[in-house]
Amino acid sequence: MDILNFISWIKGGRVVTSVDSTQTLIPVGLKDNRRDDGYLAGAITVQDLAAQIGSGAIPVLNTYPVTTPSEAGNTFLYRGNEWHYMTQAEIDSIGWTGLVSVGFPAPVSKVYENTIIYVGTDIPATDIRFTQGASNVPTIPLDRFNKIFTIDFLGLGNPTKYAVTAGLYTPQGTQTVTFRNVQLLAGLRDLGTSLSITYQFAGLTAQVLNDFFTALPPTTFTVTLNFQFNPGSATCTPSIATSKGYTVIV
Amino acid sequence: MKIFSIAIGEQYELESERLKRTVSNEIEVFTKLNNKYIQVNQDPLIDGLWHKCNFANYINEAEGAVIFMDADMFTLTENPFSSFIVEETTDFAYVPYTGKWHLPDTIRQEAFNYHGHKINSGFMYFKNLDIAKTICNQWQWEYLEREKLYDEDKGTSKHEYDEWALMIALMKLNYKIEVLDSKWNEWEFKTKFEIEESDSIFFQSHDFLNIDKITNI
Repeated sequence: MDILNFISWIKGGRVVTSVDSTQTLIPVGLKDNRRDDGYLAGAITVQDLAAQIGSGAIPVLNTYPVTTPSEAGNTFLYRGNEWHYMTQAEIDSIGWTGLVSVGFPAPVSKVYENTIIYVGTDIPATDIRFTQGASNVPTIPLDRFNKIFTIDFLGLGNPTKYAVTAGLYTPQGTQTVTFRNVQLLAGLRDLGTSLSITYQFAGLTAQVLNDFFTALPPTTFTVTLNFQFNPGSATCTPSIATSKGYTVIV
Repeated sequence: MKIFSIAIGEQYELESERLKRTVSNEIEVFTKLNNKYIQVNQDPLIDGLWHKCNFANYINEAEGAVIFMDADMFTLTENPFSSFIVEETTDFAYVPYTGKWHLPDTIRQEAFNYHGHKINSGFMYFKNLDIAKTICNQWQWEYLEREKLYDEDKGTSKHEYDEWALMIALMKLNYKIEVLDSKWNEWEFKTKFEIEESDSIFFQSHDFLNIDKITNI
């Protein structure tokens, strides 16, 4: 077979768009060092070749996908980072058992982005927010007060990033909030005059605030936490955080 | 009345031009081009803040009160100072931050407890130039003392800015202090809508640089 034969097949109208992959052969050069040219002509079925190559490239997604159990263990690219659909073992290993389902899309590494995931009784697990600066303020919509939800800091642990987050502005009502993975907030530091965390009017109780302060890692940066105008602001114990280097406004 | 501002660096110089455009009163702005400018620190943030702390020493003469305004302030109000008033006995006045602050160190905690709030140094009234210079002399000294402590490994950094030094300085001076309404320095508003809907007189933002005198943003 040479290139002229190949061209003549095309001219003869023998270009196809689908084949029986079990019956169709593709010519291949099999490495054979006994030959002068080093290769022996051979064939492989389309089915066998496809299985050997696999899908190859990681799919690039433009929108954040929904939980897809059948994709568990597979990866994809989103916002320039590698994510994966979590397996049950991965979910269990980071303490998210019961919080997300198999196939939940999560960053491969927890240190990729300033990612926050809200999960609540009426908030879909796909409600994911990114905070990459003070200008991007995630807020809970006004109809989401008096609810039970969890805020998981997926990727705020990157010590090389400023990690400014703000939000949870709710004009009234109380929230039953659980903060998870607060210990990942090792990269917090004030960005200019922007405070590291501002959770005002967030319906946070003193117990929630104290649990947050307790879970924070020690810091040597200038980190200011603004928890004004919460039900627990006046009765929480800021010294839990200040003893670890934080400034707390209540 | 003398209105003064400090603009060390290109961004602040741009912002000070907006301040001058939007305020009908004459405003004097100190920049690096002033022959009294000397670089006191290689870090531009520390350098600029020290000059702010020392601002009154760049004023040759002032009749009556001295007002200091941060370069990134602006107003949408015509004749903004027409309603400005302090008590006759007041030596120094400022706009406070809200909230009770809990600090990781005793020096700043004592300063907060003394004043009862954190001072915002964006808009300040001084009864006269002598008082302004006295406060600035102590303020710039305290700022340099704070700067000696800047070591992230020890939990302090330049990002505390100039205000704690001012609060510590005022603790050592016996002046009559007055707290101003937040309308004289509304620094929390971030959006065009918030600013346009507000009754506040002065705003502080690094955004909206293109506004002109008393026009919509």
